[in-house]
Amino acid sequence: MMKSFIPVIVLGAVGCALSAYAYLSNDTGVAGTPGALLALIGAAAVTVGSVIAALTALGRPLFFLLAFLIALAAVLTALAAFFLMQYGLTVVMALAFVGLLVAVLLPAPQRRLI
Amino acid sequence: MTSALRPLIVAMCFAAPAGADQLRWDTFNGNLANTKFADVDTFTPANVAELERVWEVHTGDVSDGSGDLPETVWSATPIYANETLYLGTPFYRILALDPATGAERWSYDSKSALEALTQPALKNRGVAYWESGQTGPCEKRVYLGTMDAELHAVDADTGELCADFAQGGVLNVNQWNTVNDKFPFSLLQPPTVVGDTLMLGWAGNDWAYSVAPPGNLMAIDARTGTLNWDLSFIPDALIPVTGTANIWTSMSADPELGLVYVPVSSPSPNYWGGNRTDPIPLATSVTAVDVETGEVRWSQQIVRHDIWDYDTPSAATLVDIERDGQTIPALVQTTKMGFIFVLNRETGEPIFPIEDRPVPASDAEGEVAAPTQPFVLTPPPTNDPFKMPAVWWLADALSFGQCSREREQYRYEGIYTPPSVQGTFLFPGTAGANNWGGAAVDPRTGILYLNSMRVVQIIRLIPREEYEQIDGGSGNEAGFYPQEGAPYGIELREWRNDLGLPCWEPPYGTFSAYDLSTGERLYEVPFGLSQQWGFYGLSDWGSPTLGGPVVTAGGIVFIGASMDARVRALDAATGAELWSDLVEAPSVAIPAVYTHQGVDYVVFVAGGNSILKPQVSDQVVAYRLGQP
Repeated sequence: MMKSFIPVIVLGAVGCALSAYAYLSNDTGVAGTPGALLALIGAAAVTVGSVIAALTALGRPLFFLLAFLIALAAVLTALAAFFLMQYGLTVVMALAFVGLLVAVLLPAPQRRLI
Repeated sequence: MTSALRPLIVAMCFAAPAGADQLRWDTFNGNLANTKFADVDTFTPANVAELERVWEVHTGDVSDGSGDLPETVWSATPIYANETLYLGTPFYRILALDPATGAERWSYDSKSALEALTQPALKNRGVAYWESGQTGPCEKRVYLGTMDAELHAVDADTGELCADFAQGGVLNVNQWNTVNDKFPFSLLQPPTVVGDTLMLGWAGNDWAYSVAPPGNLMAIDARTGTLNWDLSFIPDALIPVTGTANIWTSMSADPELGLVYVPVSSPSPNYWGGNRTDPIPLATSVTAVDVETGEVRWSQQIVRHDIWDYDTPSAATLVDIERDGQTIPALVQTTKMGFIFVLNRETGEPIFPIEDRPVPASDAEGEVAAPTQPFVLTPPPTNDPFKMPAVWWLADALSFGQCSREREQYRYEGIYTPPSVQGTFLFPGTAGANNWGGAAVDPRTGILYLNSMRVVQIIRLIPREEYEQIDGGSGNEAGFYPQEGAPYGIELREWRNDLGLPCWEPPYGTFSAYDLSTGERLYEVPFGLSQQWGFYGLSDWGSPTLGGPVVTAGGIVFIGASMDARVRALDAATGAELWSDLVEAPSVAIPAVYTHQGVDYVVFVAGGNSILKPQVSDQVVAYRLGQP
């Protein structure tokens, strides 16, 4: 397992919780909207992608492709959250993006612990 | 009367609280003059950010239309009188609440059928209040209208029906619906109470028929329910071929002059007038009517031969203004077109010029559009009458040029471009630049405050044979409308690209202030946030609005109205936002500001309206400043 992905997984999970709240709760201004659902899917994609990256021994090209897709999901979800005025989710997704960069850019021996 | 005394008396009649520190809010517009002015200085730009939500209530009377009931549209102004807060609901109930806590004191259920008989939704704009000045049962009353044309009168203290009013407290207004009775007189707007008289209009579905009930104003005895007089706005000779020109919105009145000011809507059908080419001078007008006799004193038609559904949408605002050293009793009529008519309310003479300007001809079968229309360019209109907004580059780019292509495809030659088979841009859209929320005015300064929207629609006349093949339905100010009896049905839609983005450039809504003495616009700022799929637009884009503002003596404007379901406090001097709070649906209503037991409150109803977006609620929210 790549422990360096754990912060990204945790942030993704927090993002899922925040976006689920935004989608379901009446006091967010975006309950039940397609935009909030999109943010929930985006946060879920970050979480699931990070779990796959952490647990699966991928070849280099596939690993970087997956990392790119997770980064894209994090950035787009942060952007969506900004326009949904869900600023907590924006911050969490921005942190997830930073965490992802750290996880990917760390030297390989430290990345591959298993 | 001397000009020096007049402002004082007017202020006493129109804007004055009942007691020294007990501000009432006992009509739809706060007072009969429709100033929407609250004479409280508690709320100021320095402290309004400290507003706290002190109570909220859910009435339970809400439907999103997904079940058996039609969706609800709730735009009630809370009525503060008799030390109680009264609300009508879209399920046609009355709630009496404790103004300080929101606790229910009593409720009354009209048991009206919850069917969308004339409207696409269950609509309600609240209740009316009357008191005789005597004590005893039913000397204070609350009136509620229903979709199926009943007017209920109940005791303001107990909620019991007043047996001496009509038949056991319920007046069947439809008994007077005897000509072209295609639909019932829906009583969605509460009556306007002038002295002991209830001034009553009604709503119908004039987009459905060419021949429809002729619109009328009914003066009803507040105690007995007797019809004192009624006034029709359609000439007798035209009644067999047309109808409506009804009063569906609130009215204002000057008790001193004995006049009620009546906003009259367009004749039927809404978007083709080949059946009614003879003049109908009282249609789409503001008309001054004698309260006692029903005689028309004067009338100003604001659209001739209306084929755009540019109904006069709101009560006129009555205020005395200073010009050239004189105090003039003025009337300000905001309009769907964005023109602001300022007239002498005694005589109907314009205070700022009304220009007759040539407008485009119609190419529709049987149609004869008016060759000229009245334009008012001072004060500046809220919407440009000569030029529609440009194509929005973002919507155009994302739709690969769809917006630009459509701009070339449809007809537009200024505000009064007639509907056509080709398709015509309607700007402002049929919901108007300004709607029933109207304006607020500070009578001390003569400054008018007004929210407006900039929405572009496309209207297309559809030849009858083609229309009969279309499997469509009419919605809330959009969709297909049959116009039975006309050679055309119509399709009305907002100008959006296939992604759902508006094709015209923002702003979509603004808030403005005008000096009525000079006609100068003091400021115009984008107002509110638009919202699509949950995503908010930028603050520069503003929002379409439904509902009106309230201005207070402390220099604060309270307003909901925007699409983003926020209620706001603005700095009256600049229009800058000072405070906001998220509520559960757009507050498409006029807030109430009142003083109860020495404490000033502002209360919003958050009911929603699908014209803005499909979000409804049954929430009532009250705010006050925090404890010192």
